[in-house]
Amino acid sequence: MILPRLLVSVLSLLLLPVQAAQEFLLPAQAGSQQQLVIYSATDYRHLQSLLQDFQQEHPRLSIRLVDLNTLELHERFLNEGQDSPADLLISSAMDLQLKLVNDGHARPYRSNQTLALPAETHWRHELFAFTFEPVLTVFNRTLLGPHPLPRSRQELLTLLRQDPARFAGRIATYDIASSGVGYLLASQDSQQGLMYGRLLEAFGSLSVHLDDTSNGMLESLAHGKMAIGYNLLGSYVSSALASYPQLEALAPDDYTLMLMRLALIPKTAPHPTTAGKLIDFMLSARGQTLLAQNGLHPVLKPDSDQLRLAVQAQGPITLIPLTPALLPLQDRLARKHFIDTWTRSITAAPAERVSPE
Amino acid sequence: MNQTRGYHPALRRRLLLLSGMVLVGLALLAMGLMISYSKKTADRSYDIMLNSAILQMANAVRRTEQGLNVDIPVSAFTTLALAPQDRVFYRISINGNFLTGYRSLPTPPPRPPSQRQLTLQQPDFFDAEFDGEPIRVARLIRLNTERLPHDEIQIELAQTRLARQQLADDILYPALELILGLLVSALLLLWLGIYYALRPFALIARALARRRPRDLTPLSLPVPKETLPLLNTINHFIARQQQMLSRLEARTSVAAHQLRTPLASLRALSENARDEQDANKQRVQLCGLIEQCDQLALTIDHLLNQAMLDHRFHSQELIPVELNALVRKVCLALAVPALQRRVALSFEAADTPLWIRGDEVALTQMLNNLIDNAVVHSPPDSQVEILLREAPEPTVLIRDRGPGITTAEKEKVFERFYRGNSDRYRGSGLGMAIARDVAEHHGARILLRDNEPGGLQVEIHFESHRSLS
Repeated sequence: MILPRLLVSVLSLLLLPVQAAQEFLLPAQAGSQQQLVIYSATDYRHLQSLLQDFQQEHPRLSIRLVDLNTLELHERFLNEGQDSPADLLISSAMDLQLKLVNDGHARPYRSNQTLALPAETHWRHELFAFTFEPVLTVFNRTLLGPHPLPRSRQELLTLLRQDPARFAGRIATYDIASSGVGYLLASQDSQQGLMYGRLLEAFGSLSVHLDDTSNGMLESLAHGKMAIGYNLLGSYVSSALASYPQLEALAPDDYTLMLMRLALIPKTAPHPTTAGKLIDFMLSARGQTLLAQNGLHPVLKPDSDQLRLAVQAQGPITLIPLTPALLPLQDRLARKHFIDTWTRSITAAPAERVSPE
Repeated sequence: MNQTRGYHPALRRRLLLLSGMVLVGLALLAMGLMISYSKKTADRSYDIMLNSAILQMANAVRRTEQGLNVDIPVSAFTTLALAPQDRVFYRISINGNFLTGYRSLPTPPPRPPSQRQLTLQQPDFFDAEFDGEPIRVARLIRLNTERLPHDEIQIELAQTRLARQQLADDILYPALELILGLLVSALLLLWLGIYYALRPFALIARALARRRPRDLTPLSLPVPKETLPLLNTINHFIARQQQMLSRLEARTSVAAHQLRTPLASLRALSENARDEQDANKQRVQLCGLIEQCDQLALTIDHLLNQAMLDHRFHSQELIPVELNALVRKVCLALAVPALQRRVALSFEAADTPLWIRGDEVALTQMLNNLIDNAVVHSPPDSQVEILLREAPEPTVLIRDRGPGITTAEKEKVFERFYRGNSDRYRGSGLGMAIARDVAEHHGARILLRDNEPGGLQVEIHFESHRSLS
């Protein structure tokens, strides 16, 4: 059941690298002079008011936002090559974004705004972080039954071993082969220690459901199809929690991964100056406030240029660093090796699914 | 005045320029050394990091049943992230075939074959350029021994140079600041030094300019030891001026005195002639009067000549003069007046040209006086011989057949206004003195000898020109 699903998703990725993407157009308020094209792996609703506010300042600017998932965004941009219309790439797949910069696809941008940024939030003045994204585990309280909320990965593993029947087929996580963020999170988890491997085996034995997006998983959780969602992006979780009281989220006590949404201006951008102004605006106090109002976690403290790490997590935070240390993840063979190993561990033990102690 | 004013800044500028150029040259040399040193140091520091990173990647490639397995350790790249802003490239090849990474990374220079195959060699480093940026590349060759024949795995790990450049700049800039600081203070000191070295000259010049024309007292200025010789020379010069001035004053008073006597005698003669009744006697007295006038004219001539010569001695440079020609010219000029006295001049040149350094006008004056003297003292129908000799030094001989001079008188005739026996002498008393002055000025000596069988032989020996002849 799982293997064919996986195969299908891998195949679809290979055969149709450019999937039909959702596009949003924000027309100019006064006669359009130029159109800024944004490839975004962030939901439109999080960015809408920011972009509209930006248009207040630039009334002759229309904005086309192409909503893609992280891997689609990456592949689409690379396939378009020199002809890419994209002026700005926004994605939380930090390794993919960093690789684009390392391979010389980005254009440096320096302004008073970006020069004042803390060193951890930009790379080479070509890649800029504008929000944090805590990575959370989400539970459907109803489906959890009598069990208390597991506060750490260890407790989660214990819970899965205690009551496999309850959770069989009801665990969701990212499909790392088709989701860039999923791959990034999995690789970071595996660097933290052996616990992740055990968790994966447990997931595998319980027929884990693999999904491409946080929103998809949240929907399944809300509708009672899934009980546990592992590694979901905080911003999506926050809005889901508001609508579905049966959902509960927590940042594990052992460690909480934290990634950053990154923006870069491609070398081929037709309107790099405007794109730079948008980056400035995203990093301005006004821009950061608008992002916060729309469910994202701004990188900068309000009214200051300092890092804002205050996210409601009990345990330590593992901030995925914006350094070349992300590059090996995107090595062709190393990635294949990792995905193979990952897939093997998640599908290894379907036979011994029922192994109550 | 303009010339002296323009001279000081020019000297100062030249000194400043020359030493400034040397200093700047040295500073440039130091900067060049610092640039290469800072680059080397930065490279060494970051090569250690690159070395550590590439060693962590040594086991990235493994053979398994499924084939080749590549697992690049994140720790290697975390190490490289110590240079946080630098791009990282790598290429992994197996047995010369590209496996993964950046295929178009520049090909490394060939590595000399090592003596003995090692499973893990030391990485080597080289500079290259990739994607428009200078990079530093480390290369590691490893033999994978999991099967035979061994797989040769080549790992190249490259990094852009931002952090190295930053470190090199951090080393370089303080050094450059130091070098520039030293250069500026050295130039400043140099300027000050030149200012202080040249200041005494300006002081002396100002002190001289401020003097009243008659003030010939020595300069007394607080000058440093180094410029003391100059001050001494100037004071010596002033002293000479003073000496000359006083000599001039003495001569003027003597001359005035010398002129008064003939004038008084003229007056007496004139009175006598006026009161004389006898026409014949009056005529004789008037003749005496005319003779007295001639003598007075001669005296004035000689006084003027002497003044002129004094001036020449101080102003004229000595130039090469050929004696044979000069003496010949003087003899030609004097031959006719001598014949009027029925005295013949004979001239005999030396065999070789006699070049001396001298003042032609002064020498002519001297020869004139001496030859004229000889002619005046020669009896009628006699001959004055003028001969030149080249050895041992250029010498002029003037021989007459006159009464000669007694040994006692020979020294006295050179004294100013010495007239000797009135019957023998009729001159101004200056001719011989002038001749000796000219001779001394030319480093020559005048000797008086008795001529055989009678008369006087005047010898002018240009002793200081012995080597020239």
